[in-house]
Amino acid sequence: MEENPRPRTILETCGEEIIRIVTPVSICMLSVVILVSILNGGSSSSGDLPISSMATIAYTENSSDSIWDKLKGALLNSLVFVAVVTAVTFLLVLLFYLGCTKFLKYYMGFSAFLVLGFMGGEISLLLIQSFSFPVDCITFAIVLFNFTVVGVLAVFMSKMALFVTQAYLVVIGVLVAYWFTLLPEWTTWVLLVAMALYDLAAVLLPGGPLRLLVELAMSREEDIPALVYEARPVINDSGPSGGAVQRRVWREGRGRPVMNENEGIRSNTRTVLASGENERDYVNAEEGRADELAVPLIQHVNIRMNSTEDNVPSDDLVLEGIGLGSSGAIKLGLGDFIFYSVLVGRAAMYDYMTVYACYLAIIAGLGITLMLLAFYRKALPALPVSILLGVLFYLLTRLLLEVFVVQCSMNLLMF
Amino acid sequence: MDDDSRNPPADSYTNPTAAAAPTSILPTTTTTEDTSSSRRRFGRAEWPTIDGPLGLSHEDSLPYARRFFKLGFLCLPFLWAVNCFYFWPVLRHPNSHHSHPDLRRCIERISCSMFVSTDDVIAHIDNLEILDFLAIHIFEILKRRLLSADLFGSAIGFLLFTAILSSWALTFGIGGERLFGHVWQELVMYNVADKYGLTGWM
Repeated sequence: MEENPRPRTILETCGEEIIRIVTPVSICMLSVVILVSILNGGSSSSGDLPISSMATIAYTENSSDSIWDKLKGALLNSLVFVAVVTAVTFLLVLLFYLGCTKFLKYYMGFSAFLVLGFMGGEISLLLIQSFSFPVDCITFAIVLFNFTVVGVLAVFMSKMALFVTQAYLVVIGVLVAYWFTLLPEWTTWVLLVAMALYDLAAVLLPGGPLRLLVELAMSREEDIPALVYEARPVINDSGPSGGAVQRRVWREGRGRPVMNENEGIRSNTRTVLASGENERDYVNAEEGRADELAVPLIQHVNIRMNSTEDNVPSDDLVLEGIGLGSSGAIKLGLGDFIFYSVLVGRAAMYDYMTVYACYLAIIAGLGITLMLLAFYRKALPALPVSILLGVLFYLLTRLLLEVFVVQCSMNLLMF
Repeated sequence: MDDDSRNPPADSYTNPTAAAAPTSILPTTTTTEDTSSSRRRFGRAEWPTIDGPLGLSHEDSLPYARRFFKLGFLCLPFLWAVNCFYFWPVLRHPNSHHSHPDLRRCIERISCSMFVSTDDVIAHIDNLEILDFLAIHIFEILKRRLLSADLFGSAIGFLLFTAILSSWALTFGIGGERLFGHVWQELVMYNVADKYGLTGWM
């Protein structure tokens, strides 16, 4: 057993872990804002695009409708969407209960293929057209093919370069989020709020599908096959004997201590296990392997998007809330990435001022959620706090702040 | 065992005590500096993957790299690039001795026991252990060589493919209609997209 000679400060450990989750979220949001700025810069933002999908099945927004009609239509759309999501999540719980994990994995790979291949291809075609980039179809086809296949492998295989997997998850998030921003405006906002409330209910209520899923996974000590972004865990290197690794592992449920025979001089690892009731066991694990420690706390939001004209962007992304991975790293579901980016993308369609405000609100919400996660140590929904703060800030900025700032600038008072 | 197997190649050991002479296994004594430098050298190539302790072990690396190398031939040079990226430590230090724990233990034990005379050493160490030690060593060296071969193949394949593809793409892009004439308009992507309505799905 080796001691870390210099204890790391809380700023280094917690701060680094938070940074490792905030950075990809920020990159995802930035990419969506850039995409929205480039591709939607010309057209108006009030939802004139005739996009037909599951989310607009009940009501297609028309810019000439009254506010009350728009609101009613948006509410109807969101209700339908949330209902579909709930149904699919329950289906997922059923499949997982019956042990069809392979099928779920294949479906994950398939949806990743659809998103990366078709949506990625379309968006890159739009970009090429927008910039008149002189690339020929052979090169484009080869590059797209490579990109898609490696992405599917990254999502599919458990042991792939961590950086590649994380990058591809962020890219999938960006593509899906951009697609969502094409929905009509009122529908988007009401949908965001509805999804936040649904996430809250599904994770915290005893009968919620995500809670059932988490409990199932914990009882079986299995990983849920899902698209989840897992940040790289913070590893302490103890100095002179190069290879000794310290990792923090949180584990809920039955905290059974795992003793492994430690071989070799350099492979000294200390793993701290904490069960749900604040018990701590010190364990030696070998060479930094995960040792099949159960993934403790995760949640699901299952989203299905169907386009009625083509079955192209038909995804079944299994998305998760915030939890702690088996190696102590923070896990954030892809759905959270997507909805944060949708919010910021929609804000970008109005003005950049709303983008800044919403970005800050979302990051603050994420920080609050992480603090709650550290406090409660169970799976938590990552959407509600951030989305509600984001929507609030968007409304305040658009209705109040903008007027103020514009008037001040016009009168050369400030800014 | 013949003389060759008793004489492991000197370049694979950083520890001079491990360079075997024909008659005795370990002729010289070790010093603490050698041990620490060998440990450092071991430490550098400790993990075969770029993810370090989170990545693959040495045992799993070879089939993984081999599979990626073979899959790359399906017109997937990006897979070769990912292969090289993932096993970057192996590419950087192809000759450094990786640290198999049993091997380390044997070497450490033998070098520790070198403070006694060589006859005592030979008497202490079981013959089976010597054979076992050498067998493991040769096998590991072979596996490491195969892994390096796969990675060098991947690297060369990726560079070759990229050179060809980028030269074609640059010729197409920079040459334009002057070079290709009418065909250019047929091949360029935005025209193809318009012709087949590829962007109409969203």
